[in-house]
Amino acid sequence: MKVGVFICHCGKNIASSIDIEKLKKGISQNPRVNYVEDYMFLCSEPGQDLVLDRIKAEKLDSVVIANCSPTLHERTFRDVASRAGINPYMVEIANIREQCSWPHQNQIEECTRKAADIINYTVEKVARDEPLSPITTRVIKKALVVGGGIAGIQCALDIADAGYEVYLVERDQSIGGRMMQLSETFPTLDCPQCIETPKMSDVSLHPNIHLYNYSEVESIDGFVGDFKVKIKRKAKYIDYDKCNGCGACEEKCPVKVPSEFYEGLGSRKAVYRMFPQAVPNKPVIDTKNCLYFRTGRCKLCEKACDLNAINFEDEDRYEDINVGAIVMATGYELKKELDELGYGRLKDVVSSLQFELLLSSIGPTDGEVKRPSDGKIPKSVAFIQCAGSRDPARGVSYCSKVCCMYTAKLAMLYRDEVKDGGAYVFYIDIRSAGKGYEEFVQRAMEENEVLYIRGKVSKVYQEGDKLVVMGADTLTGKTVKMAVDMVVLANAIVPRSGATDLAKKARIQTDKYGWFTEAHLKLRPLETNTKGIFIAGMCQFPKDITDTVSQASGAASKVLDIFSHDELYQEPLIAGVDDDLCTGCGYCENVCAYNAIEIDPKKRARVNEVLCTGCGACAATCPSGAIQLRNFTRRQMISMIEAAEGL
Amino acid sequence: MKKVAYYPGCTIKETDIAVEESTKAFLKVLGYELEEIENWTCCGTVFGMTDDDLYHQLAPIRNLIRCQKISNEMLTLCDMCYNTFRRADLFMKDPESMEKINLFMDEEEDYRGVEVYHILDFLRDVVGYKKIGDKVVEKLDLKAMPYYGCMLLRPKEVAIDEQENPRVMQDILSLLGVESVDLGLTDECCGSYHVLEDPSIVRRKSQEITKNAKENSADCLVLTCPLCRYNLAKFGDFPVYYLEDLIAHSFGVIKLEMGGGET
Repeated sequence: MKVGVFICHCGKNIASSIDIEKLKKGISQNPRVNYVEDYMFLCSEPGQDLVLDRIKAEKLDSVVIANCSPTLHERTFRDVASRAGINPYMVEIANIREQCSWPHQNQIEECTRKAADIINYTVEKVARDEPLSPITTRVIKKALVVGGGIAGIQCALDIADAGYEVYLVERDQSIGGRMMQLSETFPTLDCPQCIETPKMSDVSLHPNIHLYNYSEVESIDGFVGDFKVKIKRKAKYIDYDKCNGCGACEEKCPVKVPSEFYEGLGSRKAVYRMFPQAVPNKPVIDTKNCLYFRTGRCKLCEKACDLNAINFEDEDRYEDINVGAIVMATGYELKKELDELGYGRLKDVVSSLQFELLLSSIGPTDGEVKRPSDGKIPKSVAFIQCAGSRDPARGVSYCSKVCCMYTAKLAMLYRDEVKDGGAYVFYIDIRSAGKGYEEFVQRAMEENEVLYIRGKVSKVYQEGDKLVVMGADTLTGKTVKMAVDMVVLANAIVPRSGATDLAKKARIQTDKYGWFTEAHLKLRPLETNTKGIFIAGMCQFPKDITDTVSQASGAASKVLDIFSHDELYQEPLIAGVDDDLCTGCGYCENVCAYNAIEIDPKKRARVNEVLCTGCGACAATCPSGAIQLRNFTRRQMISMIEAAEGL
Repeated sequence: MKKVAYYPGCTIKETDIAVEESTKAFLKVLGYELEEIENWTCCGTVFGMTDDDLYHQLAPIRNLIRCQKISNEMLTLCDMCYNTFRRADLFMKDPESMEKINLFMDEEEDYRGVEVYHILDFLRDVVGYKKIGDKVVEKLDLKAMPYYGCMLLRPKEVAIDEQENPRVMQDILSLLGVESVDLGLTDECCGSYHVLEDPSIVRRKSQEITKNAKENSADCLVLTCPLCRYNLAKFGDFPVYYLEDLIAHSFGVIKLEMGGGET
């Protein structure tokens, strides 16, 4: 066994805290080490070439790269090893940057000694590594997209256009999502309906897309290339094969309930489509409110339907589908707990989405701005930004990112609509980074004469038929008290309800707020930590439509990347069982978070190679040492500890 | 008749003894009797805001120690006293403060912890709305703005109800037949002790509150705090009632002179 060690300077990141020459000399004393070399940037092309050359020239069997964290460049040097003709799993990373030079700056002597320890024990490990080969799995070339907003739509269309089947699952009656609720889009003032409805209809007509509206993901099993998903197709009570979407049932339905699509500002029937341009354009019956389901009488919709499409006997159905990749695009909702601003108590304090709908041509007032309490046209509107955002005490700590822009848009549209109306925006900062965004906000201020007041609002209360907004003007240092007809909140944006449950089913992570966690914020923003499951749109974090669509197309291309292979290769660094030692006690099966272990009828633990992530929980639990991680065996660990201790 | 340890406080005793009488009267109907704590002193009034300000904790803790001789629960009518006691008790949850104060006051027994009730959460959590509703003999035809002020709701740790959307006063008022006008300045500060150094602040704050009540077509303000009442009645030019008086009146145990909205 010939071991080579390569030490990276990482510019000055490592070299300024570690005496490289001394380190090199020390390492070359290690009898196991046959060759030592250093270089300024090993990860650069000349650096990689150097490693490749030396492996060949020195006929090395295994290599230790002393550089940064393995999450950054382990893969890089495994590839180099492959190119040099040795097994890629005979490469180990000794992390002398994050775990040595960075935390111990200005302590050159101690730091150099520690780096030598890290390298020496890694040499012990690599000397006992075994050559491994990747695990192969087949790829089912069909995708599941969860959520039918603009992210899900774009993603489904991209995958379907490339020639693969897509299941698009939407919880509500119609696809379209939040974008359909918007008045216009910033900064171009495109009508969202005009740009989104064609895409919605593309979805419904696309031969490769199976649109499952009014459906939810029940469970997700399996792994990348071969997920087994159970879809709950909720009973619609309408036979979609017979229904032609004429709307007669909706007209006859005597029940009126607040419409979710209108954010409670308008009503819908118990048999309903979310909005007239819904896709599919066929209704569902909401059994919670349907008179027949509540009292056993009515059935007026059945009488109204000439096509006998109403089916009160319909039941929830479950469908199993098999897909190779999944994209989550579950979107967002608005934070509602804003008592100090009167939201939910004062009728004329509305959310941004409600105000969008009041300006929207498909909204409850046909685009006329009327305030909810008395239907009067408000002559003064205060817009309150950061309502719950950037507020660690009562709301969320983060900036919801899109509010500065849509508030400018809403104020602008309001001023266009109500020429003699006053628009006042309370803001902390204006965050308008984006193409054409700053110009847009300036236009609202200058051309539309929207008055911007820098400061937070502490309270909104009713006085007669006016709302009084109390706040600070931090530029003049004075408190502001303003009586207005209506208040619009830029509510903090929070994850869609149920997103955390879905994350659990898919075994993907969420952060403390419930946003889906990407594999790496900078370099792998579309992937999750579960291979084959991707994220798009607001379910990851607030973002505007431009970013959402980009991310959706990006996620689609990640899916297509998987579909471009017939087989996938997985890391073989997983658990393995020594059958002679295994007693079948099942402890490993209990601790495995990935359901990757089963005890077979012969009382032997069996590891599902694809599900196993190599976390090591089983190896730590096993009382007999029968189950161990490949290339991370107990023997390796003990010899590493001994080397570190100088034994 | 259940006995309840009772801390009256200075303002109640000095300026508004009548509300104590009303409270005693309606609590008797509900089956409770107030037992005044012996040798009580001023609660300390304003909670010490400095972390190491042990000295300002002595007055409330001493009163709580005197209470614990007869009960580990204590009732007060005054919002300010309630706030001071609850925060002092909270302060003593820290073992270090507990030890220091107990050592300092070695003439008193050690403090063990007293649960402090304000009359509002006492009525809600101990008595229960149903029992109150059952004893109402005269429904009041009033539109009232419930006024919480600061001390019942701030800080969050001692708030008797949801901080930004309290309901307890409205709930009790509705039992008496009173319609609540609660979308306005129900939790605005009355100006408090500024009345001593700059009454113009209190005049402005109080008039802001009563104007708001009028604009929202309330007939009167209803509150529980004797300090707020002093300010609002003095400067507000608007009828202000104690909730306790309204309860006692609708129980038929006192006769309250209703000034109505025309004052």
